Order: sequence, then C-alpha cells, then structure tokens
Amino acid sequence: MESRNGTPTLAMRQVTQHGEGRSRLLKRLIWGRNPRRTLLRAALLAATAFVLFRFLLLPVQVRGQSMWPTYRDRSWNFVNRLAYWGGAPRRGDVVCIRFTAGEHILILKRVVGLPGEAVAFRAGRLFINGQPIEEPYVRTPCDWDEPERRLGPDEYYVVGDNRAMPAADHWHGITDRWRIVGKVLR
Amino acid sequence: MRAGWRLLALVAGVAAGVWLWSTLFPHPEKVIRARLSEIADLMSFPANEPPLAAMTEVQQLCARLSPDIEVRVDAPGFGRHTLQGRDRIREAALQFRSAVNGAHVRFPDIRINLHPDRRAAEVFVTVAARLPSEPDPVVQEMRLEMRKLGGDWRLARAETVRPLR
Repeated sequence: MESRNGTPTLAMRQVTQHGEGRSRLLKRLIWGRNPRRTLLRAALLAATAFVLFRFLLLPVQVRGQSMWPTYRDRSWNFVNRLAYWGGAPRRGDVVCIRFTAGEHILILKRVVGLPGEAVAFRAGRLFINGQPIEEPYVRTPCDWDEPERRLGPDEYYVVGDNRAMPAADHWHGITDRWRIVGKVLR
Repeated sequence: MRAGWRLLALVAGVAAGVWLWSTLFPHPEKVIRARLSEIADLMSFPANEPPLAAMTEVQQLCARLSPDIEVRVDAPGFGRHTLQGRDRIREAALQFRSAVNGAHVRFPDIRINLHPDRRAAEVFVTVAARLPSEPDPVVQEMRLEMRKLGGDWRLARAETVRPLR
C-alpha cells in the first residue's frame, strides 16, 4: 500500500497514526502525564501498603479446624496489631498468639480467661472462678473435663471454638501477654 | 574528579574487605542458621525414597549432631519420648522415613541467643513439617541447644516447647 515515490498512502498513514496513538495511550496509562509524579505515587503507595500490612493490619490465612465454625479453614483475615496498645485483651476476643522464634506462623484462639481468674472445664462447660460461662460461639458438643487452673498476673487462658475435637488434640491453655500479637478483625 | 575516583575506590575496597572478612570469619549466628537450614533439608525427603539415599541422608544428618545429643518430644499425636545419642537418633530417623512416605521440613522462624563465650547457643525454632497424610503442615515450636565442637556447630539438645501451657 505504498505510492510510487515511497510515501505511505492515506490508508497506511491512518494505520500508523492509529498505532502511534495506541502506544501513546498505553504509555500514558502506565506512566501517566508526569512519569516522575507517577513513580512517586507508586513508591508512596508501596510504602503505605508495607507499613499498613506489616505493622498495623497483619493478613493471615486460617489453617485448621480448631476455630470452626467462627473461622473456616483457609479463609483470610486481618490481625489488628494496635488493638491492645491502650488496653488489655478482653474475654471473647479472638487473638493471634506468636511462637517464641517469630511471627511467620501464629496460633488463632479465643480469650476465655483473664489474669487472676481460675479456669476449668466440667462436662464440656467453661467455668471461670467457679461460675459457668455462656459461650454462644461454641456450636459443637463438648465433653472436656479439665481441673481448675489459676492464671498469673500477665496470663490469659485461650481456647478454640471447635470443642468437638478431643482436648488432647486441641491446642489450648495459658499464654503470656507478650505472645498476643493482636486481635483478629471480624 | 580524581579525588572522587579515589573515594570510590576506597569505598569499594572497604566493602570488599568487609565481604571477605564476613566470608572467611562468619558470625556464629550466620553459621548456626546455615547449619539449621542444612538440618531442615536433611530431615526432608521425597516420597518413595530409595533406601540407600535415606541411609546417606540420615548419616549426613547425624554428622551435624553432637555425640551425646538428647531429643525430648512431648507433643499431641507423638506422645512423650526421649532419645539419647546419635545411634538412637539414626535408628529413629530411619524408622520414621520408612513409616512416612515423604516429608518437607522447614524452619520459618529462628531465634538465636548466643552464650557470652560464643561456644554455645540457645535456639528457638518454629518447625513446619508437611506430611502426605496431613492436609495442613504440622507445626511445633522447639528449643535447641547448639554447641561448637571441633570447630563446627552441632545440635546437642532438642526439646518441644508448648506455646500454650
């Protein structure tokens, strides 16, 4: 589609212009009008995301059945790391507990016993200081029997919601305050 | 301009010196991390592993243990066991490999507390083991004791830790 003297014909010219326009549009979509400003914005966004998801809201994937049915296996959630900056964990809070070595793997449990309290399970029922406690989040039958344990000043009793599991297979018990990373958002 | 080049050469020289020093005389923590990574690799094995390969890997694993090693396990599903000495560990590792068809072990978190004399260290590790029979990785916290024996860091003691008491 070229004329005899080598200049593109009208149709060719239109195709070329169309192609140029498309690449210009693509460039503008990627870099914006001002590439320097776009880069700055991208860097700011990346820094904000890093700070947000590393120090404030930790994304976690639930693995396992111990918090069923409240949290299902392989569901995603966020842990609010600032939840206990101004206060202490409360009964009923779902928290993430860290291991000594680090925070790549966390334990998801519900706080049922607070510092200074005595915690026991009798015939599957939770007792705090000798009084039975209503647990609407437990939807499974439970037959756990565990002797009364008194918590120290910085200790919390944590347990999962799925009490259908045998007590021996269900990680639960006393944890120290420093291990509690934050409160799970729901 | 010439001063700039000299400064650049000086900085490059210092960087090369630091790199060489850290390569020739690595910090004990770095060496311990490398040893633990090797141990995790040697504890992992593919499905249908040939017996000779299993034997070789277990032998290499035992070479990274101190002769008087003690392993204490108290975990749900495993019960309470104490193993002492390299020979006992070798036996247990071979038994485990023949009973389980493949495992992938890794230590996602490692915390090292080096003793003041730099000849021993207390190490906390989170162990995550993926077994073919389990849909989710088996997770366990362990407290290890590493000792420097004959110029190399070896595992001298390992015990399970309960994060929830």
